[in-house]
Amino acid sequence: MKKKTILITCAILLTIGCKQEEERRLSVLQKENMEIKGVLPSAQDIATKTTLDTDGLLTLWEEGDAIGVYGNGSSNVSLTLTSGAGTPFGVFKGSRTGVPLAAYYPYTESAGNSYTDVRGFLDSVQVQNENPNHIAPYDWKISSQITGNDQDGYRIHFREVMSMLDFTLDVSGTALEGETLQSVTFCAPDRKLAGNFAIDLSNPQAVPQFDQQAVCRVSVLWEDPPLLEADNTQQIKVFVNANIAAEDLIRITLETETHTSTTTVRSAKTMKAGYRYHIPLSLSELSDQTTIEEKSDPGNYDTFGIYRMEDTLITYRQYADQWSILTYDTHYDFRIQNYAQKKVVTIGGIPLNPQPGSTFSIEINVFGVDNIPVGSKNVTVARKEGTLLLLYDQENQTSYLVYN
Amino acid sequence: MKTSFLPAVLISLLIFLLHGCKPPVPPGIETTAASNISTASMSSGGTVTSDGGAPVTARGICWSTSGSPSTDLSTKTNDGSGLGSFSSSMNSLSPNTTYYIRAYATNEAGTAYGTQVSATTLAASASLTTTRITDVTSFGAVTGGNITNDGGANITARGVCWSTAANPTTDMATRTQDGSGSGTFTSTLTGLASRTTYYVRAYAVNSAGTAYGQQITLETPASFSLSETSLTIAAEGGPGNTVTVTAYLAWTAEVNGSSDWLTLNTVSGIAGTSQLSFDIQANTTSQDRTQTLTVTCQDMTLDLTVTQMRAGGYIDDGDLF
Repeated sequence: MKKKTILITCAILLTIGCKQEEERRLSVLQKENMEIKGVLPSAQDIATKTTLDTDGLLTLWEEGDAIGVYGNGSSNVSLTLTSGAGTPFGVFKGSRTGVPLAAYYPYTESAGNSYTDVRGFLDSVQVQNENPNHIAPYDWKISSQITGNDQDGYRIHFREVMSMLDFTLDVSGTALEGETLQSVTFCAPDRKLAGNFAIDLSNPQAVPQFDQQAVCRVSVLWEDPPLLEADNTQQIKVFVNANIAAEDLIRITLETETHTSTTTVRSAKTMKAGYRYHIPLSLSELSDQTTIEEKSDPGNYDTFGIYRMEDTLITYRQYADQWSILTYDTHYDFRIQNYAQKKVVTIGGIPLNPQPGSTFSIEINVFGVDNIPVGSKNVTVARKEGTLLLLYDQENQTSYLVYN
Repeated sequence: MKTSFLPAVLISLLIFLLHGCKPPVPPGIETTAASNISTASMSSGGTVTSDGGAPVTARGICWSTSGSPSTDLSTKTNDGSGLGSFSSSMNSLSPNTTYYIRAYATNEAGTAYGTQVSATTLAASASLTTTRITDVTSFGAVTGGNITNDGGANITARGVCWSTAANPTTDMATRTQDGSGSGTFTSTLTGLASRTTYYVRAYAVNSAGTAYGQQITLETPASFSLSETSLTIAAEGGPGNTVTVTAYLAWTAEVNGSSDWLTLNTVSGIAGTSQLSFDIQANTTSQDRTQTLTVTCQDMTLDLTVTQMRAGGYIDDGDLF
């Protein structure tokens, strides 16, 4: 999606003609459906399916966009864009909501029934296609003002509640030239940048309150990973919770097939929701703050377990051990255990659908095992084939092969 | 020697006797010309030149607006007795009126009058009031005056005068001329500035000069008003956005500078209530934008600030590091 202003005309599924007008004059609330109507802007050179306008700031609605609306007598009703794609002014239609009290985007089925405690989720792994302006449903926004009436319809104004990071990536003169970019990870230790959050839509100034499990990093992956070429910058859009303060340490990690680049800088600004921050990531110019390492081979294992280079720290043994998964809302735990030997190894906090190249933290816990380092580990999805997921901890050169 | 004086003594005695037996006559009196003439008083008097053979017991002047005033009138003075000159004052006279005056002197033989003189009191300034102001607009008002007393002279000019300073006079060009004569008159003030305090007085001119009525304060209102001086328009914009103009005179409107998103449908309007209408293109930028319209009427301009909200999206905050 994309947009900020929409006009809700509690109206009527008009087909055409006077009858429609008559119906419109009646109460929209008597209708089975609600239509959110927008005013199309003047002709603009807007590419279809983009979500950011050419200035990289204006957000535009996109086909399939849906908003969630809370009304007097309804909660979290999904309204889907029916016209206005490619413009900031959308028309949405769906089940009637009554007088709209609050709204948000993108529609989330699990947002809850109370608009004072809407549950949202900002994905820590954000997928970008070849068009960097296609920002997918990461630009969370909430209603800041709702005007209108049943007769004339309602206009909902939205405001962005996340911050947008606009990378300009230039790897000219570095070892990353000529390689395919697998992921970009933006990390601010101890900050809550993505994950589950709650927000009070009754407060137009509200900011999302991320829960304890929120992560301090957001990764960008590509449907079609781009080739990094000299003198050819890459534009990357990342959406994060506006939780970074000036002087915060920021770590930006680029993953290619064979290299990992880590740039460490300090933020010059305190982020604000609804603002775009440019990140001029020219690795050659940031050479003092950047380290580029050649990736070690994560290995080509085919049995669940934990491996460090040539060492097998633990491996699942058919008939002798058991493995299991515990699934939660956003992640799952993979566990190998041996009741006879009273050994348990848990690889926890794995995202439900991790994308190759994505980076995240897992939590290692053991019982009855003393050769496996426990605690939080930063891993990257090195391989995902069928039900096998290979996570690689570059820092410790440790691989985790788990069920997915 | 004795014989030589006797005839003279006898003659003198005869003369004395003859004379002492003559009856008294009214005193001799002269009237002094009037002086110190004002609108309600003047001075005169007289000189008792002889007592007529009997003591002068009363003297003074008497006057009236008709000739040959006498002491029978109440309009007289009593200025003592005896021979000699005396001065008299005449008060409570009517302005611009001719009075006939005679000095008088009384002895037992009767009252004698001096020569009649006449004098005319000066004319007085007119008395008038300034009429309450009505029909006030940003450029004019209606008032007038009521001349209740012409001061005894013809009112040759009348009207009202006004100024932004207190106590306006007819020396100013800002005055009306509304005929002559006493009584009420109506004056129309024009050419006023809006939102200004004026001081207004009626005036009347006669031979005694210019008289003014009481000063009235006039506050002119604004020449026009806008129902709104700032408008916030949604990003989608649209045609027919209106602001109501309430004006005392015709007005004009223009876009400050140029605008590629705001178009005026109405560039002028008439006195009274009318609409300033404009169309607004959709704002497909990520920034709010503002355009000022200037409306002019009489001596006033008002700006109408139109802010169109941004359609949405993000605000650029520069580099993060």
